[in-house]
Amino acid sequence: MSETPPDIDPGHAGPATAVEADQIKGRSLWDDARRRLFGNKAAVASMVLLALLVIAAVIGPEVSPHDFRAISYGDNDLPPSWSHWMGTDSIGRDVLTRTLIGARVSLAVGLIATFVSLVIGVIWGATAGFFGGVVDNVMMRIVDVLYSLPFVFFVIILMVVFGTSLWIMFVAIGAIEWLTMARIVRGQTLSLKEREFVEAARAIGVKPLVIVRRHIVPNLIGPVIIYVTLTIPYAILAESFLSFLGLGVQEPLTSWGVLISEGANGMQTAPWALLFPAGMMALTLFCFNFIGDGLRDALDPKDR
Amino acid sequence: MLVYTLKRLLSAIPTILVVIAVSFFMMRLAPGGPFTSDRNVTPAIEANLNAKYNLDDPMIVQFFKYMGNVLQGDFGPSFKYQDFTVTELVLDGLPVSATLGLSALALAMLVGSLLGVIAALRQNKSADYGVMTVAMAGITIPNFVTAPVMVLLFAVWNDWLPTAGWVGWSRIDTMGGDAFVKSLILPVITLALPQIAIISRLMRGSMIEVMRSNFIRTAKAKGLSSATIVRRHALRAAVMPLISYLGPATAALLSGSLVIERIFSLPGIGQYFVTGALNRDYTLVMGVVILYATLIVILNLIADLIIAWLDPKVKLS
Repeated sequence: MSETPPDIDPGHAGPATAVEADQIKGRSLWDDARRRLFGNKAAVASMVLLALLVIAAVIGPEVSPHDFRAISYGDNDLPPSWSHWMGTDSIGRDVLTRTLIGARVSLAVGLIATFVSLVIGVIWGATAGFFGGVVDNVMMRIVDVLYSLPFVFFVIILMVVFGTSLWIMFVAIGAIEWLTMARIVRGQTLSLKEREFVEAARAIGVKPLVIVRRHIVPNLIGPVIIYVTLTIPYAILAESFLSFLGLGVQEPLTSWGVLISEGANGMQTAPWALLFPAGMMALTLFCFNFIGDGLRDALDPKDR
Repeated sequence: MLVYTLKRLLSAIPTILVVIAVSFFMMRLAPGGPFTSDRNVTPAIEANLNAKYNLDDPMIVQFFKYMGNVLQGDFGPSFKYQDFTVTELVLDGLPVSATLGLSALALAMLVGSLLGVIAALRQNKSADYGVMTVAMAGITIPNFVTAPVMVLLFAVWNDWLPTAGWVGWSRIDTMGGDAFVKSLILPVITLALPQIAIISRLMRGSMIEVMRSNFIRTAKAKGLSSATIVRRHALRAAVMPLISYLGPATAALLSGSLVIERIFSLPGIGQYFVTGALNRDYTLVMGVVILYATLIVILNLIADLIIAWLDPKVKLS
C-alpha cells in the first residue's frame, strides 16, 4: 500500500539526473531485484538448502553403498545408524538412498510439469490478452469452464487411461497447472497494452512485433517467474498425491509419495521410514514457497 | 434473485455436461475393460457380458444410452461390485463422506476465521507471526504427510485415539457416541488443516483491509468500543472473501478426502472413486464424478447468493 521508496524505483531517472548518469552506473531492474532477493534471509537459506538437495539427489544414489532397490530381509526395520543414516524399511531397503531417488523424481516432475504449464499458459494467455475482443472472450471462457471442473479427478482418470508412466504424469500435471498461468499472463498483457510507454512506442511507429518483444515480454517475465516458483511445489504435491494413491510412480522406481505411503503402512515398526521422506518433502516445499515469496517481494515492489 | 438462481443453474448444465462427456470418453479410451482382468472368463462369456452392459455398441451410442439413463436418474449397475447399482453404492458411502467433509468444512471455517481475525487485530505482533507461520506450514505440508504423522503421534506412540476405522451413525448405539467422536477426530482435523491455513490467511488479509477503511474510522470516531466495531461492523465486511472461497474449499476437501479415506480406511465415496478408476468400473467412476461436479457447482452458487444477500453493493446479473 505504501509509496515505493525512491531508492528502489528503477529506470525512471528524470532529465535532471542525465548528467550524473554518465559517471554513475545505473542499477537495472534486475540488479535491483537480485539485491532485494539476496537481502531476504529466508529465500537465501532456501536456495542454499535446495542446491544442497539437488546435489545430494544427483550424486547421492551414485555414491551410496546401498542400491535403492536392494532388498535385504535380514536388515529390515533397522533404526538410523552409521551404515543406514535414515534406517531401513520393512524389507531392508536403505531409506536415505530411496529418499534421494524420490527427490530426483519429485524435482524432475516439478520442473518438467511446470515447464509444460508455462508453455501452454504463456501462449494461451498472451494470445488472448494481445488480440483481445472475441478471441479473448472465447479463450478465457474455456479457461473458466475448465476451472470449474474437479481437475484432480481428470488427472486420476488420465493416469488410468494412459497407464502410469512418468511422461503422462508430467503432461497431466502440467495440463492442470496452466490455467492460472494463462490468467496471470492475459491480465498482465491486457494492462501492459494500455500503458503509456506502449502507446508512446506505437505513436512513434514501432512495429507490433517489436512492441511485443521489447515492451510486453520483458514486463511479463517478473510475474511469470514468481508464479513458476509457486507452481513447482504444486506439481511436486500433485505427483506425490497420485503416487500416494498408487496411481503415480510405480515400483521399482520410487518417489516421495510412494515412500510416505509405504512408511505409513510400516510406521509401527519403522517410523523413520515415514518421518524422513515426509520431513524431506515438507522442507523442499517450504524452500520453494520461501523463494517464491522472496521473488515476489524482489520483482514486484508495488505488491508489498 | 430467483431469476438469477435459475439462470445460474441453467448455465451450470453445460459445465456438468462437459464433465460427463470428457470423463465418459476418457474412461472408454482406457485400454482394457471392466471384465478383462477377471480370470476364468472365456471370450464368449466376455462378449456376452459386454453385450449385456451395452459395451459392444459404438462409443457414441453408448454415450447417448448412458446419458438417457442418467437423465432418468439411473446411473447403471456397478461393473465390479456386482448386484449393486451405482446409486446404492454412492448412497452407502455418502453419509461417511458427508460427515467427514462437513465436519472438516465447519472446523476449517470456524478455526480459520478465528485465527485470521486474531492475526489481523494483532498485526505484526507475535500472535500474528505465530498464526502466519503455522498457516504457512499448513498450506505447504499436504495431508498425506500430516495424517500418518498424527496417527503415529496420537494413536501409535500414545494410545489416545484409534489408528483408523469408522464407527458410523448406525453403530453409535452399540459402540457408543464416545467411540464415534474419537474415530472422527484425526480424519477431520487432518482434512481440515490445509483449509484452516488458507482460510486464516484469507481472513487476515481481508480483516486488515477492512480495519483500514473509512467506515471503521467513522465507527471509531463516534466512540464505539473496539469489540463492538469488530463484531458489528468489521466482521460482516471481512467475511466476504471467505464465503466466495466456499466453492474452492469444497473442491479441495473432496480431493483431500480421497487421501484421508484411504489412510483411515473410511468407507466413503472417495474410496469408490480410486478403486473404481483402477478397476475400470466405468459407471461407478462416472457416478462419483457427476456427484462431485454437481456439488462444486451448487456450492459456488450458494456462495454467490450468500454474498449478494450480505452485501447490498453486489448486484446479481
